[in-house]
Amino acid sequence: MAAVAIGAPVRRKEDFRFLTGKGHYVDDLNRPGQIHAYILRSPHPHAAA
Amino acid sequence: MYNFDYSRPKSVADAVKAIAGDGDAKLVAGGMTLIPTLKQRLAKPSVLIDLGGIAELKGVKRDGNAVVIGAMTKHIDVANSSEVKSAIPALADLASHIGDPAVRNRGTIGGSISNNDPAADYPSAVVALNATITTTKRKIAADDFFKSLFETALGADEIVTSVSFPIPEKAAYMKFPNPASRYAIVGVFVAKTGGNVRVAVTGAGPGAFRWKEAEAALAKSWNPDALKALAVKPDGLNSDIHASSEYRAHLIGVMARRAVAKAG
Amino acid sequence: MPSVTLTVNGKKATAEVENRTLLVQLLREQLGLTGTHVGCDTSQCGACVVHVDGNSVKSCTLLAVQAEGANVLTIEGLANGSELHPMQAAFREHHGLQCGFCTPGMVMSAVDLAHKNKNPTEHDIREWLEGNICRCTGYHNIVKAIKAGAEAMAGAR
Repeated sequence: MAAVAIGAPVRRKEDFRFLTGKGHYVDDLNRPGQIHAYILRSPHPHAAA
Repeated sequence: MYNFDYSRPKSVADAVKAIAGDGDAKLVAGGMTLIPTLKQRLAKPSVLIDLGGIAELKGVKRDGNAVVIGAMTKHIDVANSSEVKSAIPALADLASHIGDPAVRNRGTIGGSISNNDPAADYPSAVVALNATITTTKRKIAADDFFKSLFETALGADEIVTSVSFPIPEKAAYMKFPNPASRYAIVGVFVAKTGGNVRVAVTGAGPGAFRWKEAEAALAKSWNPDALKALAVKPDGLNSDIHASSEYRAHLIGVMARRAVAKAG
Repeated sequence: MPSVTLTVNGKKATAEVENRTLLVQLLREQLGLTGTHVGCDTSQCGACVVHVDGNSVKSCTLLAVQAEGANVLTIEGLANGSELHPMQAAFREHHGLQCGFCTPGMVMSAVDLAHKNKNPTEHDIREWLEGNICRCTGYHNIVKAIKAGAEAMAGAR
């Protein structure tokens, strides 16, 4: 009988890079001249500027 | 974080020279409280004087009936010290449960007591064991050292160099930690030294304080049941999102009884 | 500007930093080692754990200048080329990760534990992980992975 995949553990392809620090997250982007944004939220729900 | 100057003196004498005359200078020991504080811009020191390079402030030694711990000794080194483990196992146990491993690998006893966070663990041991704090200027008894919230008897240019803990017959520490920060919501250190009983509570008030009714009851009978009839009043105790003052008052009794049981 | 010289993953590195530069900023932004993550930036989550002179520390709570002369090991320095360190291999084998964000800190903390405690119990491991937070998968498989990884490390000695 052929090996059954159902219920069998599958080794994930992405684990190697995650485990060796080579995963890529948004905060890891570092492009020349990169600009950073920070959201400053109003402390007033409704107010005249 | 605001920027600052940085110096890393090699001796206590150089550190004293660096801090004297600059009211905005700040000492950093392990930095486990100060660096987060700087990151939140809650402090703006002119210069950070790092005590991390001063070898004479590190280490544990036995001195007669006391264990003397250098101010820059890390929590992990107190927890693992064979000297502390054999003489005052309760103190090694306390050190092994401060924060988390990465904090214990940096944080120091001198930093902890000088900062006097109301929920820090060490102040309870210093008070319950009636330790003596040695500074660059004098010796200070535990009862005189901790003043109030983040306030100690230390002068602006005074540096803690070591803490001397008399060896007790029996002692234990129990804390109810905040599940996220591991700070004590309530921690109680009980100790019987030379026939004297001291019970010190941390996390519940503006700083570590003694529970004298419990001390009297335990002096008569060293038994958890001796505390059963005592109740702590919630008046003046801390109340925050983690626990009300009533809950803290209740926890003091529970932790004290557990500590006595643990001390055996 | 102050300059700091340290050894990172076996290689000497020198960089110009501000006094307020954190070790994690030096690693990520100046040395390009983005495997060390900033999760909470408030010393709680442990995603930024690296080894400094053999001990696990939170690199978001240490100034770069405080690491002058130190020997720093990050997640990038653990594997030997394509051959995973036994702790990394155990995390893969026991599915001790999902999104992978907390993983570098988890693995670095776990390696420190295994160095200090050759045969940690489940309780030892759970206590040790108090400073590492995972938001995906819970800690069950992480604990299993660390137990297996510590055994593999002890066996490899």
